[in-house]
Amino acid sequence: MNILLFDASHRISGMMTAYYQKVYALDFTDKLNGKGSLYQYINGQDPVQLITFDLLDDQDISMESWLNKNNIQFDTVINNLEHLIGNTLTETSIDEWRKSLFINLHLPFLIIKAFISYVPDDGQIIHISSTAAVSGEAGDVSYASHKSGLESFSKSLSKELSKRNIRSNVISISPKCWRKSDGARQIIQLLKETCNEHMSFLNGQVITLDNGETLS
Amino acid sequence: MRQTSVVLIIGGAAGIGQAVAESRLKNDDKVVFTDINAEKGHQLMTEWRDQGYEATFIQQDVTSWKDTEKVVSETIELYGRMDVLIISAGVTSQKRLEDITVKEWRFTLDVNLTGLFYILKAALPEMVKSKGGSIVIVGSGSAITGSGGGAHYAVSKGGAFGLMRAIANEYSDQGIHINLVAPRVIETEMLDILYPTEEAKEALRQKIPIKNFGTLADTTNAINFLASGESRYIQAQVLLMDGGRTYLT
Repeated sequence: MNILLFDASHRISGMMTAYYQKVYALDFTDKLNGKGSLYQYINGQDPVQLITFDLLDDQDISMESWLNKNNIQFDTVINNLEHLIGNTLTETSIDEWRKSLFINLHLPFLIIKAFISYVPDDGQIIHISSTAAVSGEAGDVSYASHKSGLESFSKSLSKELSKRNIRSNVISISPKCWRKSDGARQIIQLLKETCNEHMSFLNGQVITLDNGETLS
Repeated sequence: MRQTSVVLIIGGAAGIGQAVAESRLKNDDKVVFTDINAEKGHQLMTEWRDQGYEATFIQQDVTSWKDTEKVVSETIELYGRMDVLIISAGVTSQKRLEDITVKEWRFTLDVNLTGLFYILKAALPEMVKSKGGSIVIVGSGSAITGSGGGAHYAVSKGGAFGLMRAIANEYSDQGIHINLVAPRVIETEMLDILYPTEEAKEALRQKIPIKNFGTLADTTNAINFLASGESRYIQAQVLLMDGGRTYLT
């Protein structure tokens, strides 16, 4: 299975690259300008830089050409882009709002537009979200809003891409889960299960990992 | 006797916003309404004032922080308080993912989501100063279903859910009463944009369990209820108005 991670620097990336034999990941040098490199991680070896990209440059076709030339496809793409500031409404500046909007919503849109042709029929997209999208409790208005927008984005994708049998789901994680000693292991376990090809009937859903706390 | 409220309506010169403005004026509220369309706004203000109502129009580009700050400061200058805030400005276009340009994506999110953040950021401190008030955000059922206007529209309206909940977490104990209505298929100009032919409209109507579209009056009733003291214990909720379509089909 070929997996593409949207952000190599995210904490789940290291665990995913350790678990799966071959993983691709976008490593941003300048997130706010959509610039970086595509890397390949092969278990036990140093990552290999494959090609640079500039998502905001319409004329930049180097990534597309490289993917075509190498006949690369990604069975599962994982949107693990996240930007959390931790500010209340009064504390959130216009610039901070825009930065969060760009990383949490604009970048996933740009990346999915760029890579969707390289996801085969029966492939899937998984977005990492937060229970803050429902509860608003992260203490960050931008993050809660943008993660909530992301969940609607996933539903749109699940409908639009269903003609190609491409699925789109969200794994929504409680901030408390990240802080638990075995929290990351549980998250990876859920991701692995969601990636499993036997889960082909799972589509358009938000799977919540929160020990039931958003019910209260 | 019912107390007169000062009501600020963002996007009040068309569709749902205009209908809410008319209903509030008929209840003798003092209405300040904004819109990007200055010609329509001024025309409505003149009509309403001629009918003896207290209506004030301020032109606003919701994507401009400066414009938004001005709307709030002029409202406070005029009345010294703001009791009700209705946020109804929005744009949509029916597009498939591959056809949505980066420019369209950004514009839709700027108007529908950043515009919402701006008005909440500008208005909430003033509402808290005057011991609270009610806020109703006009969202969309698209946020729940992911359909009906393209991914850019669904994302922008979905973002409003989380923002509303975060605001509720922060301001519930300061007298702020905030909720969101999520209409799905209401007879407005937006419906004409999304379903331009009678055939398309009829096919859609048949998918709705009650076999009818929602009307502006339906939406206005829900918004006015959520903005009133009668819904005091309803907080941080999304009220889906869809004739049963989302969960019954």
